[in-house]
Amino acid sequence: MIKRILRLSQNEFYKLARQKITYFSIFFVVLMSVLSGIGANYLFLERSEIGSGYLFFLISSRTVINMFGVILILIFSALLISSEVSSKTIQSVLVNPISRFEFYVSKIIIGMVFSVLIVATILLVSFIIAKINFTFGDYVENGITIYTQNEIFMNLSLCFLLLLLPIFAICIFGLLISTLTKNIGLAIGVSIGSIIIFDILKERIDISHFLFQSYIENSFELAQNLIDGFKINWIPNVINCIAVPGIWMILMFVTGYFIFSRTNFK
Amino acid sequence: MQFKNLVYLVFMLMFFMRSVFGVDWKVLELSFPEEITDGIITDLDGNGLSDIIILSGIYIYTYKQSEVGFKKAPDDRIFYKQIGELIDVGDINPSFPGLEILGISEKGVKYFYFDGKHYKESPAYFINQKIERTLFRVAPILYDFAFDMNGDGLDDLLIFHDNDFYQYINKGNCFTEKSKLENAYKIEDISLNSRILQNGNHCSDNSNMAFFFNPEVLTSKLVVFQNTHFNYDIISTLNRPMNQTDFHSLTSFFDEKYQNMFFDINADNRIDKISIEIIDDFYSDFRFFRYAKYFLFLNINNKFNDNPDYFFKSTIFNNHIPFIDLENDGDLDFISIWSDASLGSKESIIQLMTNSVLKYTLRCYMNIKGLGYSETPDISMGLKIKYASLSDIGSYIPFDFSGDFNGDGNKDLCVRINPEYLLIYLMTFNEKKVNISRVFRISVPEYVDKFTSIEINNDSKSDILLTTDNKIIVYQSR
Repeated sequence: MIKRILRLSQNEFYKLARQKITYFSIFFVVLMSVLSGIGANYLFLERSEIGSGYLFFLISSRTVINMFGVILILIFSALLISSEVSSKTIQSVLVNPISRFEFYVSKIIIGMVFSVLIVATILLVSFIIAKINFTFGDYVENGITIYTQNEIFMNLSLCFLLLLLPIFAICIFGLLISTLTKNIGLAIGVSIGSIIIFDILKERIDISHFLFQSYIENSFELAQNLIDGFKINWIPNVINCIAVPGIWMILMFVTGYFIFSRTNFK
Repeated sequence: MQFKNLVYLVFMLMFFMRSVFGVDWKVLELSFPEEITDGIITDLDGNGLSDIIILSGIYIYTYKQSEVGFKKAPDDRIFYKQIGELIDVGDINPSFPGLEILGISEKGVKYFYFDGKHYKESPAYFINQKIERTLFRVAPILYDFAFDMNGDGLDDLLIFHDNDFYQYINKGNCFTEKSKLENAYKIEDISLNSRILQNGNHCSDNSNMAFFFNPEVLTSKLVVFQNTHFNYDIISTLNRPMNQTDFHSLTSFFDEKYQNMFFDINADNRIDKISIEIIDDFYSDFRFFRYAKYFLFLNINNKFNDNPDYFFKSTIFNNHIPFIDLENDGDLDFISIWSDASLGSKESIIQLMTNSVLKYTLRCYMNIKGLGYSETPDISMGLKIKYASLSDIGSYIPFDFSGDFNGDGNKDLCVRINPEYLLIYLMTFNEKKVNISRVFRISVPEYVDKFTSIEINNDSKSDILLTTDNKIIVYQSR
């Protein structure tokens, strides 16, 4: 089964490489990161100040991932099944000797690969701009070294690893919506719309802690704390960042697969 | 039958709620026709219950508390003067019952004694001396100006005017002529090997306290005057946090970019130094508020290290000083309040624009005996504060750590989580960890500007004082 999933994922990867949306998404996030770098020339007055590189890197990557990266990942994952259904290619795929489970898992894998590609592109471009335009270094206050540069990058890497979990949850959510509708436009609209609505309502109805998308911010807040010079209590934060998106991923995967396995695509 | 069950259920539910939330509040609301400019909560008549003294407009109002509580009307309304400044109470003349009231105005000091029924103004003790009002605002501010400076049981006066401190010694029926307290607030006067007599609200018999403020040298501090044949060593300690909820406003605090405070941080009876750097260009860090960096230098064998021993940061809200003895063990813990809002955060922007909600992280660094502060905070809480409107954001500090609501000796956290209610987190401390044990909430009127914890009914559980320009509301725990 694993071999079949890997082969299916390989096929999906070739499709990913051929799709325009992949290149458009990468171009778009690169453009946004570069624009944020240009804008930062006006906003960051002290570019030579040690630590300004971290601040730019974080603000730029946070803005682009939050505002555009998540939307692009949602669009991509919402298209994964709905596009196959609307173009009726799913019927020819499912007549092959593969199970629906294997097919569904391969879609999740390619969604995750796309998510990593988008996040990594944003981080890489933001880092390059920060390296060229701004200054990194040790965080030192009046003779006390709060963090060395290596410690900051190690901790930032951990923050971005934690970020992947809610991003994957976003991806599985898009796939779930994709299984619910045969219409591409509706799938994209519902997935993006529901995320935005919950973003607005979650504080009013106090459900923020229970939503996976809140933990995208959580990872960035940890990174922000680091750059602000606060030592981080990793254990409770790591547990929260893993537990809530993890539970959602399992629930949405089971629900999505349950719906997908019972849908008649004829 | 069903109705009866429903009634039982309601009563059981009420009993359950009462047992869960534990504290029941008795509310006292006092309104004044003019703005409140000063106020004191203290026991005027020596019955063990706190009374309220308010300076509002041209009158001083006194509300005395008896076993049955406060009356709605003031016990006394004393004509004060057109422009009042500061009031204080003291035991100036022991032949009068209770405490007397003193008031400083621009023309001098007024004195009111209690004749058994009402407060009356007396020409005795009246000091007719011009006091520069402006200096009260920009230079050292002395709030507790009536206290026993020479240990004779009579309260003397220490008043700041003409850019210096002057003492007026109580001779039993009048004050002596003023005499200058030489360089009372100069940094050189602080001897690093001075011993702090007592780190608390009251000092030992031969010492007395004043509370003063000098933005140039010592900043805000509580000063203990140790009287040895009229030679005053000025040594400092901190007995309670200062925040905006004091009636007095410390307008100049945090105005200087670099300042020093001197407190006994680790309760070793030696004065430690805290250097503060105020970061005003916070916008370059994409912060919403000014913040301060605190560099702590411990006094080790009467010397400070070149590099600080500890470093902390906290957002500046009004005049909140983040050093508080949370677990009542004598040393000072640090509370950092930090706004997590960032321009790069979509969520911050959505919550700010749609709900006027701003997220703060509150971090408590406990000072553990022998170990000092830990690098990571002992408590780290994210709190989302809802303001009445976008323009109110940052206008008041929503946190208060000065109360002990369950009477266990530890400070508890009171948060104005939104304009409609306060949340109280009861905190317990042991050597290994800090627990937030229970949360309950209190509804408050939306128009209230400020809140603080006080002790008013002498039951060892803190009460809550809410203030507006011309109104005070006291929530007394029962």
